[in-house]
Amino acid sequence: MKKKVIILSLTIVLIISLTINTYSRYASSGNVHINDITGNVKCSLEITNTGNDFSSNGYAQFRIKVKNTDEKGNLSKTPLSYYLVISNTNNLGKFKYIDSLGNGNIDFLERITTKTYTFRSDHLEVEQINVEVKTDAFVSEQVDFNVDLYCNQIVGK
Amino acid sequence: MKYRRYTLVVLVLLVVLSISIPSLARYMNESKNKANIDIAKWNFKINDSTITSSTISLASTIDTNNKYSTKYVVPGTNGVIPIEIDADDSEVSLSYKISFNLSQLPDNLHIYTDSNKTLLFDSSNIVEDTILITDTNKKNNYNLYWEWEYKTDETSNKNDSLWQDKNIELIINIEAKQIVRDDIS
Repeated sequence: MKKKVIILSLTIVLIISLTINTYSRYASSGNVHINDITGNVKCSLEITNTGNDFSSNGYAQFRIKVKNTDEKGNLSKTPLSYYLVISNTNNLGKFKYIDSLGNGNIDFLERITTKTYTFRSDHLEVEQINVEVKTDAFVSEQVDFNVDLYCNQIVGK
Repeated sequence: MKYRRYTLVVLVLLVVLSISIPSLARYMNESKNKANIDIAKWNFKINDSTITSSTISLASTIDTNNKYSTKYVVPGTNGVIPIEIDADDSEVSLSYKISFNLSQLPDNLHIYTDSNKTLLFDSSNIVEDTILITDTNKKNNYNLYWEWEYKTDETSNKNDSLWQDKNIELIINIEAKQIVRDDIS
């Protein structure tokens, strides 16, 4: 008899525990993923230095083309400003630049910084800058130089 | 005498069981005639979707009055990320939490919960609210405001430059639970 009662009690406890499991509530969760690839500033330059190019003033010159694309031709995703720094690396040459509008520096210098130009980002833009080179010796010498291009993202035009 | 005591124990257990049974009726209506059970509907939607994960392109949320870019996420851009919590089709009250889950964002890109951009939305911040079955409007809308500050100091320039052509990601987690009697009391 005692056994029966224990079994019955256990059954009841089991039923209670089973019913407790069904005591649940609705719940759900979700994620909102926000993602993207960021934009970029792209600019590149191309130097044409034939070695036999002379300006109308009679100085040897090289030409720099600056573009609002990378080397592969991908357009910059933001408008940008840029400037060039041209300097010699063997203390021989001095430089003077002239842009397409006739702007430039007056005196030949060992290191020149151009004015700051801007490019849009909705179409290809190219600016050509001619750089005259002279040496103090006025004889044929090899002039080594660096051209550095600095580009910065700006507010759209 | 013993038999009586056992009977008493069994009766007590039966009473306990009968007390626990009404608590099962919270989500169900039992029809005596047909002997079937109607379960209240739970239909919780985020941004009009019942799927557990949805994706928003950040570029699609850019403020078009932006001077820096209307197409690309770049320093200087800003925008609004809409979040809609929709319990229109649910037949129960619910509470929910919106929390910041994971981010892979530039240092100068911040998310705010207010349009004045003073309240940062980050991992220490949780938006909580309820939609009750008695509410006439069962849709709650939130806007999260983001801005990639245009800064020109050296550190910002360096950091922002590292984020060119990079994948940025933000995950917002939304958890919803049915409100039960214990929650109210």
